[in-house]
Amino acid sequence: MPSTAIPSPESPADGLAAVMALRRLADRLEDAQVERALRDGWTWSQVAEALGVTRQAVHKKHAKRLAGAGSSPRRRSV
Amino acid sequence: MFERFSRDARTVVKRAQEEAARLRSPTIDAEHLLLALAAPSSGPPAQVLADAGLDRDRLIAAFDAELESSLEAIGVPADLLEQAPPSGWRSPRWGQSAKLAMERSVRAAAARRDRRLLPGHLLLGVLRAEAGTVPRALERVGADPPGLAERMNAAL
Repeated sequence: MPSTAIPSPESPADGLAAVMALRRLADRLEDAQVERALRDGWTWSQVAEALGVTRQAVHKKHAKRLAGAGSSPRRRSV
Repeated sequence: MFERFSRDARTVVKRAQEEAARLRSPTIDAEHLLLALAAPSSGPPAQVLADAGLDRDRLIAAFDAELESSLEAIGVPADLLEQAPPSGWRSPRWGQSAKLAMERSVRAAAARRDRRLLPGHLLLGVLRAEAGTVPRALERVGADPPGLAERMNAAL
C-alpha cells in the first residue's frame, strides 16, 4: 500500500465502521496520554487545554479511572 | 424501561455492565449485551449462540478482528491498539447501541404479547440491529443474525 494514498473504504458501511474504530482507538490513546501527562506532572488544566476541552470535562472523564489505577496527580508515586 | 425485565434479563443487563468494565470500554455497547447473553447462565440465548459455535471467546475474537480490519481499511495500522492498551478502572455508561438493542427487545416482547421481558427478547433486540459492530462482527465469523433471531424467536 503506498504510504501517500489514504485507502477509501469500499462501502458506506465500511467507512462508518472505520470512523467507529478510529474513535475506539482515539479513546484508548487519550487514556494512555492523559495518564502519561499527569504522571509527568501536568496539571488537569494543562491537559484540558492541550486537548481543547474544559478542565471539568477532562477531570470527569479520567479522574475516577486514574484514581483507581493509582496514578492520580495528587498521589505521588515514589 | 426495566419494569418488565425478568430476573434473568436483569442479570444479563448487569453482566453486560461487568463485561464492559472488564474490557475497559468507556461505554456499555450492544457487544457487551451479546457477550452477557453468551454466558451459559442466560439460558436459551446462550444455547442458540452455542449451537452456532458462538461462545464468549469466539465473540471477543470477532469483535477484535472487526476493530482491527476497520482500522486497516483506512490505512491505520491496527498495532497502534497494542501501544495504547485499555487502562485503569472505570464505570462505563450506557452506549447508544445497547440502548437501541434494549428498546428493540421491549418491542419484540410487545409484538409477541409476552408479559415478561426475558433474555431471549434481549438477544432478539441485539440481533435485529441493521448496522454496527455486532452485525459486522457476526457476519465476519460466518454467523447469520436473521437466522439466529429466527431460532431464538422459536425457542422463546
